[in-house]
Amino acid sequence: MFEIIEKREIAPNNHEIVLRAPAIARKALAGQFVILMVDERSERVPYTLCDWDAEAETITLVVQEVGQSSRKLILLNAGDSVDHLTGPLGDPIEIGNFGTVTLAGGCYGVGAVLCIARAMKAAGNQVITIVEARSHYLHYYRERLEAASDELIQTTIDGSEGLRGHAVDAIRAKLEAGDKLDRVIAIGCPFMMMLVAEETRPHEVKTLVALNPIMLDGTGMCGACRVTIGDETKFACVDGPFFDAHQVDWRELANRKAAYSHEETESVAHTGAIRIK
Amino acid sequence: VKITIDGRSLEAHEKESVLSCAVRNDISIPRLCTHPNLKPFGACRMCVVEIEGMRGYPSSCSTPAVDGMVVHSNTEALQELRHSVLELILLEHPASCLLCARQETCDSFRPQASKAGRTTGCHTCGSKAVCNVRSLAEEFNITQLPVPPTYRQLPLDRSDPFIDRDPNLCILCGRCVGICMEHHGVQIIDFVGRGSDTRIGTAFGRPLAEVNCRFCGSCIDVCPTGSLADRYAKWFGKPSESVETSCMLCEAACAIRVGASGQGGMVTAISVNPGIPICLLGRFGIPELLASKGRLTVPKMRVGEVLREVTWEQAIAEAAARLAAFVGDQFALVCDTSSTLEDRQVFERFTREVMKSPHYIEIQPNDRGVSQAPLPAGVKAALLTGAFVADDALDNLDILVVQDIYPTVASERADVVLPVAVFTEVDGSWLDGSGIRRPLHKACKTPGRARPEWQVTAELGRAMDATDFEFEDALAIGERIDVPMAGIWVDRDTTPAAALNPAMRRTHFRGHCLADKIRGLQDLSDV
Repeated sequence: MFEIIEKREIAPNNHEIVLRAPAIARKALAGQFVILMVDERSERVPYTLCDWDAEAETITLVVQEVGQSSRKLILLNAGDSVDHLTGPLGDPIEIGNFGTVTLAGGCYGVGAVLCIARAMKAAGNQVITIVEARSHYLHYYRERLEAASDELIQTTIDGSEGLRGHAVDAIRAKLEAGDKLDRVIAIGCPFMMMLVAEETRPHEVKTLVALNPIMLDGTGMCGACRVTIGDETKFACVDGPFFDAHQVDWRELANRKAAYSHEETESVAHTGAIRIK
Repeated sequence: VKITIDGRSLEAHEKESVLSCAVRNDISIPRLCTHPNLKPFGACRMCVVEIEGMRGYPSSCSTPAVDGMVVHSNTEALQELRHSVLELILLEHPASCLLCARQETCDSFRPQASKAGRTTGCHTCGSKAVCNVRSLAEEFNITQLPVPPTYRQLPLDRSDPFIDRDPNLCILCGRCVGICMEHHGVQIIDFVGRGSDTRIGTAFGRPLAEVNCRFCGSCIDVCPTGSLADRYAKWFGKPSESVETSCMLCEAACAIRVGASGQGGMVTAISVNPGIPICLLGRFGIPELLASKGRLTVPKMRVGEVLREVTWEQAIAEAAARLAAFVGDQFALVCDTSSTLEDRQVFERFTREVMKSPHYIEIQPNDRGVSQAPLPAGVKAALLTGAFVADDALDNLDILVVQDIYPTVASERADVVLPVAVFTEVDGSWLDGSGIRRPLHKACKTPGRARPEWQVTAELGRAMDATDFEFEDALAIGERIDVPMAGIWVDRDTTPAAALNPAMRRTHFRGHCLADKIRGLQDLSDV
């Protein structure tokens, strides 16, 4: 059992959950993830590690409610526990002095780029962090991201704050201005990462994305998380989560993520009233 | 009453509103809070017009036509005013997806809305396809807002049976308040609070069940946004097809409109007549009752100790072979009126002509829908179409064939299990409480390999060498029934008893407890 130390809704539908997980907090590196089961019968869901504190023995996740399992999780409160937590999983992001590193985060990825920004900055990079949201009230972690980056750009699709558009529009503006981007790392939904990949491809900017297919064991056994990178089949859990964005088969990833969408909808449909204690 | 709208001379009815007269004459005036089943309310200000001799911009929905009135419905000033009104609405309705430059790419890459708890844009909204605010914003081509929008961050209310409420999506059009008053004469929900804190709610924020809500669902049916939503249906998307049929959950036989998804699965069932509410079973219960995963979907027969999945041919052959030894009064067929008249006609003929037994037992359920009957003495073989017989009575049977929709104690013990299609899944007819024959129309796909009941019994009959047991379809069987067919009951002007009094509501269908299948009923009894 893993206790929830703190839980708050940091932006509408985005929940920051701090769990007590000493072993994971000791070993975690930027870019890794955990697999969490809320209860004995819930799905195994991968969540990117946003932050951790080895001394306090805690890890921090940002969770969006988008279905049955994430709903179960966000309905828990501080003091409650989740049944299973496995991690840190996946290869950490390669840290080095690359020059200018641009991080793009959307949805849960806004939280997920935080630790990468810190590590990249510590390695001597110029860190540009771009975070996207639909509207101004959906942005979170502003101060923390500002502190971890040399430049923070916020985008909104309604133009209510920062640049109007998506993270990709901020990248495009940089590229069009002739800025040299040595490395781009994008974390978010496949749609957002795909847009970034398409933008940087013609400029031949090395671009890494954290793929988020359906996962089961997370240790390379089941193959549920297979993705096509170039002409190779890879397992996102052990070969990833980071892959060359220009080699990803995005349509396949989206289709595989939607493989159980009818079952997911049924599961939510048959769930009754939510009565918070 | 003669009035002029945009230079056209029109005839308005006595006491008709300017809006109604305009719409009747194909003059389009944008509107949001108005609804055909409701009195004019004048809340949204989208239908404003100019009327010569009148100050300001009156709302056309709430202004009665007066002889000689000269109305302008589409001046530049009005367009600007409506545009601003809609902008103000969008400032408090999460609408950023409407302003997104990548809407088309997004929709084609991920057509399904994400099942978010809090909706913060159309892509996370279950009502995206039916939202009136969205369609108006598209019509007005709104691509940006003058100032940043506000998200109120009010708590979601997902604690009531059947209904999810998200006050953050509400535009305060008042349709729900109006329909509740119209249908029940009481205000179960109303405007609460004042000024910018106004929202829709119950007295003292009490749960709906505690303030005597009857869960007719009409508030959801008139809501122009996703603020009020059918918890079961909301993420299945807009039904791609809908068929009108009769409800079989009690003898009121209300006319219902069944919506099915692209794959044919039932998603919603609502009242055909939005002016008359139906009971919560009819409005919320039917898809969950019939489209659930627990249904019997494949024929099975007992092989040794276990029930094994087999083909229809094998199951029918097995049932025929085993029943053949019990021709005569050792056999009984037990059904109730949840089978169609056509099904029952074939059941009866099978019992009398093929099994040569007098024991055709057709149960009329009691007023809660409970159907129970004892098996006649000496019966050794039975065909049951539901959970109608006490479990210990099954002990005396040498052979048991069950054709049903859900597993029961009987189906677990049966020698042959035949999955059947019923109710919204079949064509046919049945009698309402007044003896009027109401039609049933197939409105959704049948689960798995289930087949209509008449078809199953007819095949069984033919496998037992019955003559004259070929039926083309339910319609052909129905022609032999000596009761004239009425239409579905659309023109009803009274609310069914079950919608007004929970004690009149059925608890069982075909011997199955509804609360075991319909989650909202459990939530209701937990209140």
